Amino acid sequence: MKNLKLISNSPIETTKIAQALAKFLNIGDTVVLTGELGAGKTKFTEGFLTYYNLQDEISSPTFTIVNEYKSPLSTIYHFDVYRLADLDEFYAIGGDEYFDKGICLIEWGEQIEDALPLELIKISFEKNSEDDNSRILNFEAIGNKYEKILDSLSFELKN
Amino acid sequence: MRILSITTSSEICGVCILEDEKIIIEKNLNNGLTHSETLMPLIKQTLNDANLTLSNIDLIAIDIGPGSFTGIRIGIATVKAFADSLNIPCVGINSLEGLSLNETNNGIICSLIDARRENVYCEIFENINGNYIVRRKPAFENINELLKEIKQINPEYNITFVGDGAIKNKEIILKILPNSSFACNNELFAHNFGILGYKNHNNEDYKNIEPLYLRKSEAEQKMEEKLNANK
Repeated sequence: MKNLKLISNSPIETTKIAQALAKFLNIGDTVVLTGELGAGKTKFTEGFLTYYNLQDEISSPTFTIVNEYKSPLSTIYHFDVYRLADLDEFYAIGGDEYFDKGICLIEWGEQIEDALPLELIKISFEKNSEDDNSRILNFEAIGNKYEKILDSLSFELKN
Repeated sequence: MRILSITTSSEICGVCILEDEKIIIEKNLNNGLTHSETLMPLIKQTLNDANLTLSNIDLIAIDIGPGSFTGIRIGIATVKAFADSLNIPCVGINSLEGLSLNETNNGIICSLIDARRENVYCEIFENINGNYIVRRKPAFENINELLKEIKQINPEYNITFVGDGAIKNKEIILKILPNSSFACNNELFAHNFGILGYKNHNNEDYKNIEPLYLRKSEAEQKMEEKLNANK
């Protein structure tokens, strides 16, 4: 397990961080986003989609559970599993079958913890009490592959 | 007997028409599209290419899983619609049994279908001259525990592993059971379900065909944990 803490000073910076991460992810990779309302999860997803030139198509998956964004590089699946009653409902909709088919960004992933891939990246978003525009992004990489991705991301953002 | 067999529990959408155990035509599609888009056109095309219609079919053999929850439902729902409207007899065949036929040599065969998070769906058979006898019933297991269990029975076992779960876990299988070997074909082919359907059908009511999910529901798991804790 490896951690990385990043400070974003504006929504635009959050999207830049997301774009940088997108560069290192491939089909079959999973990212779980946690944080309270308005903490920047959606902004992050928007930035992520910008890398694939899909930023104009973003909509909230709150009611659809999952939104699909198709690009030639990979399909992006944006989940919000808040409304699922339990793990069984996630399996019943074939939720776990999405993991190999594209890149999955999952909001409220802690609700389906036992169905998530064993290796993934978790990002928790925290508001900064001293600055309304600022956010703390805590990255947690589980698994060799994701630890390397975090190293690459950290290097990329420093340069 | 003319048989239509269908498999949709894995990435492959497969349709085959057989005369008894002989394949007349088979189409296995793995194009990334969902089976709900692929299956109907594929059945139509397969029948057309064989110059047949559904009314020429005497038996439908369907893969009931385990595997993809959505895939299994697409296959079973389709077959039940045919069976209901055209009165065609049906037979359900489990995917692990279908998979075991990929290995034709005599000996112990372990079918493994990947269920993610180090889990597999598994069933163990012994092939004695083409008779596949069940040695361990279909189950959802953690791969490490399953291998440990087999090792305890006989660490020298020479088992042939087959399926995507075998490919994914090859390293650990060889570590725990070094005498293991691996099948050349690891995919679910429609014709295997036709062959097994021909051997196993016995005029069962299509209404009794149900998906074989094997994975315990969250409620069942919690109940088990509770019972174990009380022991």
